[in-house]
Amino acid sequence: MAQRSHWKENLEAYAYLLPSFSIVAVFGIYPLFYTIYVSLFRWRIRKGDFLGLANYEAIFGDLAWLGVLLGALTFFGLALKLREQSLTNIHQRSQFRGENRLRLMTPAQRVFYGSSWMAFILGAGLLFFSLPNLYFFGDDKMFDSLRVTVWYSLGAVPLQLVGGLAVAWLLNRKFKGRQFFRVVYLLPYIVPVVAGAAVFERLFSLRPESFANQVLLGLGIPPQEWLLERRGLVTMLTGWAAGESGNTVLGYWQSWIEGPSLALVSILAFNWWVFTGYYALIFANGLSQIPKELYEAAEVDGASRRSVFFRIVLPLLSPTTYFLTLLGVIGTFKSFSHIWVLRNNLAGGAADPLSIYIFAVFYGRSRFGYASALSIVLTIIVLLLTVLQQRAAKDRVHYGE
Amino acid sequence: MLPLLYMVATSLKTYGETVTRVSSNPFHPFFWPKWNNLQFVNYLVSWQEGIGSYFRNSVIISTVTTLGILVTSIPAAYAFSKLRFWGKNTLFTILLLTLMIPETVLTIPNYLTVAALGWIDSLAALTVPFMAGAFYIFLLRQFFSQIPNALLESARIDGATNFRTMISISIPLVKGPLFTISFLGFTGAWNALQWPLVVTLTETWRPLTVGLLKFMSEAGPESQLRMAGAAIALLPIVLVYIVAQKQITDAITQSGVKG
Amino acid sequence: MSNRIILVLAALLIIAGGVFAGGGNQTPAPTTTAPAASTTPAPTNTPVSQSQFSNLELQGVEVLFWHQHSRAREEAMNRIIAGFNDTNPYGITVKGEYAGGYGDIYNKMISGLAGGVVPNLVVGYQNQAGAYMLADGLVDIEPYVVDPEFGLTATEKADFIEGIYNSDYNAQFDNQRLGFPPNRSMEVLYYNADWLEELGFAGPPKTWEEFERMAIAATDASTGKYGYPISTDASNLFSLAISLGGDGYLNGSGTDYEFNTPEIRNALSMMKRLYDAGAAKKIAEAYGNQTDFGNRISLFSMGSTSGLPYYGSAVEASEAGSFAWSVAPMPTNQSRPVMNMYGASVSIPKTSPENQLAAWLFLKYLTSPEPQRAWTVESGYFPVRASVRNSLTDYVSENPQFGDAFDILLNSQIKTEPPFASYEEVRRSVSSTFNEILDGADISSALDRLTKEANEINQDMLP
Repeated sequence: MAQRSHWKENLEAYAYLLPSFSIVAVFGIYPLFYTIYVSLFRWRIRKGDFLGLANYEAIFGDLAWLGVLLGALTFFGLALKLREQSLTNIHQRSQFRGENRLRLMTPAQRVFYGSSWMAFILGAGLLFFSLPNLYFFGDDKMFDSLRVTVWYSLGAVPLQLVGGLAVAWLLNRKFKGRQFFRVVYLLPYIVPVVAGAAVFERLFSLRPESFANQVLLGLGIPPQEWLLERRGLVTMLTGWAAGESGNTVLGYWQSWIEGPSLALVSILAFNWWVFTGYYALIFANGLSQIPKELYEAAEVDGASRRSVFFRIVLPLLSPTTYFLTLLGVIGTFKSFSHIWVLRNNLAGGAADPLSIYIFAVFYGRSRFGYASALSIVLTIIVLLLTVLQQRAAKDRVHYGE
Repeated sequence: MLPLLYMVATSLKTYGETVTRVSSNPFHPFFWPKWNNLQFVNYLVSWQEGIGSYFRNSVIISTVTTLGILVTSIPAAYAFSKLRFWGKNTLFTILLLTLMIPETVLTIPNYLTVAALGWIDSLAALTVPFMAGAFYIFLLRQFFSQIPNALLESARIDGATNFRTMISISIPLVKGPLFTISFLGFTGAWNALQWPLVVTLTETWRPLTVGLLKFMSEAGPESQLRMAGAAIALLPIVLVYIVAQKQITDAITQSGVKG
Repeated sequence: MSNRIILVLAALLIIAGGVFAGGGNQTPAPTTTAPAASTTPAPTNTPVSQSQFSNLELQGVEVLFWHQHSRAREEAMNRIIAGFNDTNPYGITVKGEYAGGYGDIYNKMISGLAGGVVPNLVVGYQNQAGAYMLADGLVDIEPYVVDPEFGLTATEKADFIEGIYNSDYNAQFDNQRLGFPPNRSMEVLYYNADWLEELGFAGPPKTWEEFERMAIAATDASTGKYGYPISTDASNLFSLAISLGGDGYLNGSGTDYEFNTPEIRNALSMMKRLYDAGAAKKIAEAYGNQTDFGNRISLFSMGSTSGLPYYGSAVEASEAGSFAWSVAPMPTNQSRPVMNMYGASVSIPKTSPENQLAAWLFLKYLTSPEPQRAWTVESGYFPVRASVRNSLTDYVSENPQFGDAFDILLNSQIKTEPPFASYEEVRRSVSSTFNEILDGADISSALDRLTKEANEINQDMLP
């Protein structure tokens, strides 16, 4: 009897999934396998010789260093796991906030905790040496663009989360001009990318009369080249540059300290303008799922607005926040059109994330095989980040009831 | 909202003005067109240039895509959140994977698939691939998950099938997210550029985004036309949005689940 | 258990992808190519006694033509196409389609060649045609040109402007003719005649020293006026380089890129000098040079002759009032001006013999005198037939700058940019390097780096 209903339920579920999965399979999954297939060949518009993993080798240069990098990642993973083990049941056992966690741990847990830190340090050390070497031996353009991608993601996601939440929260409050605000906040998102970018190009032009430069003028800062400026933010603010030590391990990391280029920051500005409303929309949806009774109950209890926000709203919003963070990271790593319309050749790659580099290899050099390999690497990186986020979020996301 | 202002201001200039009166600073007179010479005709020219029919195409494409997204995503999201079945986690992970694939990678294989199916230059090519919306499934699943199982159990006890439960109970509870998804899906299809460019051969189904490209000629951008065209492109979405936003924000600000 | 099934499924899918993709490996049916074209190193008109195409059935054949023209130019092109459809005795119908900008068309063609649909006629630069040939996608047009029944007569051929006519033979592909030119433009120097007079100069600069002096004379920091908005475009640097002698971007044997040449170094040093002196500035936004020139803020500008109508509108609408202006050849240290002539040709992708022949016949019509005249008047491009000059008197009197430009064309030495498939990508590196140098990088080492990078890209994209 139980078996029969089990079968039926499975079948029913599959029926529900069929329409979307059939499309996803053809247009979402098949391309992935096709790409893997292409990446194994020398493919210049038409299929060429079988290369095996040669394309991948070209990306990383020396597979030995790739091994070291993977080792670093494994250590990080280990560190996380150990930390998890060491922190089980801690929260249950603490009487009040801020109580020293170490004291609450069993001896075994303390060992785990200590080992997790050791693993982390080991991983960091391996990373410190492997990444620059991969950069030197492998495709330096790829790693440069990867760095740009990281800056882009770091610059976009946190700010859009905060901004989006703020806007969504505001949407709920009553104030003058609220109706207008409600209409206007999503407009940037629906403007066609090409038109919006054309406008932003003007706003951030290096002409002294451009809006951005006028703002700077008001602050007493000379006009900048914005989208053409390949120097990093830190360099521009402090005058410090990595200098000629570029070809050493230390030099490589120093170039990270230079910060994202001003060109990238300009593109980020465009991004913020477009996507904050989008994040706000989804946050608003999330906010709506919080029952009004909770607010009322809190008010009755005499809680301040601030603590209502931090103690009730934020935790209950965490599924949405997690969802948006996940999507945000994936989205910024993949992002293409919003950058493509603004990037300028003259900035010399300072504002070209990996997605742009892949496009250039595809169409500019017609190296389909190599570009496919790069895409697979990008996909794997995004995969790793997702897994990382899932692990990190396990304890922090509260679902419904 | 400055950029939007810029767009409208530029759309009312003549070509010469767009070249000589250049400023992105609204406090600078060059930002604005010459008030005695407002070129509303730009909108007319833009429209006649074909924007009219591209517009129609975009409307059809976006509507069809949105409907498709709803039809495919709702059951899928429901299944993932409320039904139990074999392979659930694996399939979900696969879905997640598809989200991580960069656009450029998808273009050529999908183009080949569409060509093999004979769909080049057809409505199908412009709509079906967009219906593969892992994102929408995720979002919906999120919100479906927040419906307490108790509610569904009581319906089941009353003898309702899964399907009925879904339709009559769960869907109304996620009205806000549904509107949101429709809106996002519509906008996504409306603003798509890369894919339609590759997949259309002739003017038959050319959408607005591709049509706007026509105003970038090689020796001089006719910004005033492009901006007028963009404003036209924006208009219906804004209208739809204004109408729908009341629905959306009402659905949003109402509480989701009552006791 | 379920995981293993997934793995098996995955493997099957990869294999399926391979089978499917394997289909894309087939090259389309080979066309009949006359042996003469592939063996001669220099393009010669080897006479072929009998047409190899006379058995082809052309009635009802449709030709799809992808171009990048919009608005007035598109209308003009459509009129020409209609003219062909109505008057050709073969029953061929041509359909013109706006297919995006040059870059978009290029991307579409690459996708199409990978296994989709290609048009019967496509516009493209010589280097783009080269890239298409990496996939063996184009037809050699020479056999059609020399065909006794369908090709050009000796008189017709002689009417083509020589530099233009020869620009489509591609050395990387056995000197096949990969495109046929329907129009051309040139990189010229735009100058403000009134302003030059005010500054006390008799006319546009003939040498680069004069140019430098004039640019500096026009610079006035207090009013923001200056001499020249720097175009960092690869085509522009090429124009500068050839005007100083030399072979442009290629080494002596024409097989590899070489950027660290005395001419290029001189050109870049001059630009840097002007930039440092404030007499030359970076262009603020796309077409910012048109803006500054029109507003009387910059004395000079450099750009394509196809921009003439646009510059015209800019000057007319100028906030500073309109002024006398025209175009001059690039200053030079050679005996005759050396000009960079570019422009997209039209290529014929490999489809079927009938479609290819029909496509050629349209090209022949497009490049005949009357359509050329009509096209020139509407588009502002140069015609490719010298005789058309005589029928353009009205147009020239309305647009004197065009007349000046055309005269320059007929009296200069013409050079063209490398037709390598890699050039599309190398262009980007060139402008990036140009910008680096303006920002202070050492010229010689930057050029060496550029050469190395360009040749790496080129190695990748050799046939």
